Amino acid sequence: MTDENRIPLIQVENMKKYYPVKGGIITHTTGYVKAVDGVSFSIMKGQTLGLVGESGCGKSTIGRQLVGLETPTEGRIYYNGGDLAAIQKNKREMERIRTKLQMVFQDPYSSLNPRKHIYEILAQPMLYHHISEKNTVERDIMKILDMVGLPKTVMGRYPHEFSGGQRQRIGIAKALSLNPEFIVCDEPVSALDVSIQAQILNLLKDLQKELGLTLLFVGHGLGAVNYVSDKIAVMYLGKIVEYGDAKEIFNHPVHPYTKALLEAVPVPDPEEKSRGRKLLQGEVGSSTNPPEGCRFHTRCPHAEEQCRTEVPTLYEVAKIHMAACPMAVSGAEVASHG
Amino acid sequence: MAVSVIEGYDAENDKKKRDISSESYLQTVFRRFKRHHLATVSLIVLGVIVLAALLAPVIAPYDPNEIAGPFAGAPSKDFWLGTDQIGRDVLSRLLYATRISLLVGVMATAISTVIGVILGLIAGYFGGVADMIIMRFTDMVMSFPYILLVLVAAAIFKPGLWNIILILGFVDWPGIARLVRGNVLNLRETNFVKGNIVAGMPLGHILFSEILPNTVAPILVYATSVLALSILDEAALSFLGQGVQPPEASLGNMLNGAQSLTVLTTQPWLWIPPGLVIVVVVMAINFIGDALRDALDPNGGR
Repeated sequence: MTDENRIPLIQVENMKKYYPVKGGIITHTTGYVKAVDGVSFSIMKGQTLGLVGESGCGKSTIGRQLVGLETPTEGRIYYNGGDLAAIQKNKREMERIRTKLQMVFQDPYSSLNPRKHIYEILAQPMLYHHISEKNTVERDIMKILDMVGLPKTVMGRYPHEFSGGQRQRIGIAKALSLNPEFIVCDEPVSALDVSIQAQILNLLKDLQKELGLTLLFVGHGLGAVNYVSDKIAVMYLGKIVEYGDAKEIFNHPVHPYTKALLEAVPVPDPEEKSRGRKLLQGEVGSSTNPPEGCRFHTRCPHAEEQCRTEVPTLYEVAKIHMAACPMAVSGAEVASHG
Repeated sequence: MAVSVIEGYDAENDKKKRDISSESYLQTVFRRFKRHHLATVSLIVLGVIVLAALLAPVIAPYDPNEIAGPFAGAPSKDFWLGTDQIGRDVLSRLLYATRISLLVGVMATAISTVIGVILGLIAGYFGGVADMIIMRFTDMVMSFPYILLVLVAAAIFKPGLWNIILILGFVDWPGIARLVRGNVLNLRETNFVKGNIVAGMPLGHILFSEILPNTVAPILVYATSVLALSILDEAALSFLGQGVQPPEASLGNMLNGAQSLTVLTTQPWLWIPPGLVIVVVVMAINFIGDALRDALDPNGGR
């Protein structure tokens, strides 16, 4: 989409993920939850794409599909130019790239096996994939633990002996231990205290720079996402509604939904209380039966007749900035570049 | 005094803390188990009974099938628990009977646990058709009138020690299969299992190294109740004449030999000892199971 001269590490084309809804007296499929409904994006090597949107908009589903936990109903995922679905069919090829795509989970309390101590948790995958051998594994683990800011003494301990922030560091260490190129961070900080959140975000940012990692950072807080991301994609009900440079989106949001999200970011200033925030009205549309036309029109303050019938596509607003709202696009060009 | 209490507490607490960081999982379990006094006593009692049963050939004063004394003799110096109607020593028979009953219980439990764990793992992890077939089959086995099924099976396969073990083993597994399936369904969705899938670990590792160890605790607790139940079932079957066959002694057929009214009213030494052993063993196993449930809880803290 951008940076024309480089091949993106991850490219997603028209990804769809529908979950069948079963029901009836004799169980049959009565409909589909359209968790992800036609999403395309790409991530350049060494960059971070932030994926934001409210709960249930399908952002975590995208992450799970990128690491192979789920397969898309439709559409393609390319890793380094190769079709992931084709790679998965070939066992040896899959074995080779399996470790390259890793994930950091949202809930650090359930992402570590409570019956194993940290050494086992980290060593077993490394030994299995021959990333490290028996006589070097301890040294390698120490190195990784040092990278995520944990002392080497944690090796003999069990997960329940750690705090949430420490566990998330171990979760990151587990992902790093396999020398990945790409890591999906599925809301890695939303289960943590605010003070710890900043530490983990900084850690992720530093590690990315140090190791040249490519990240997909899934989150629902624009603040955290903006802090770590180069590009941001805003999702609403299974579709990307705005995509662009993080700074650009943060400073010149175009889509009404992005604007609403930005306005919902709390400002630590009591004086600001009066700044007349506009809160979104209405309910999120159902993903089994999404609203026709623009999916956001049921809650959009600027919705017009056209929005109820026409499905908007992404329009170029500026360089590296696209939004799926024809209403706002025409006005925004004047606003941001006039 | 208050000061000394605090000082003493602190010192002890400090020591405990150091212990916790270095102690293994088994040590933690053992320490928590010891807090249940009833279970600790049960463990000792059960240990003594098991030891006595194992050492039966050494400590039994007579051959259990030998006519050694007077018919239906009351307890005496030579025959501590008296003799039965045909003059066999009750104490010797009781020791051998306990041995048989425990063997039936342990073996039947082992068989049903293995079957239940394997079926439960498959049903829970793979889901779909495999799950449906296995669980409907489980329901079927569960919905059979249990004792009737065992009786019919015993009648078909000729009653005898190993047949009883196999029969009980093959009817006791549905509970364990359900329990394991339920746990696996939960565990399959946890992040640490997903994380290992993403890490590319093989299926065997995920099933037996990640999932199974996390359901061992409930299996162990459930197995204790299966053990108690198997012992009771053996007793019931033998009492009905379809279990372990005389002259081999089992707790059930010792009771079977003491059915008549005269024995019940005038010769209590024939039925009280085997009855008491059954009650004590079953109760002890159940208490131990209860304590294990608490001791094995990974979220139990301390």
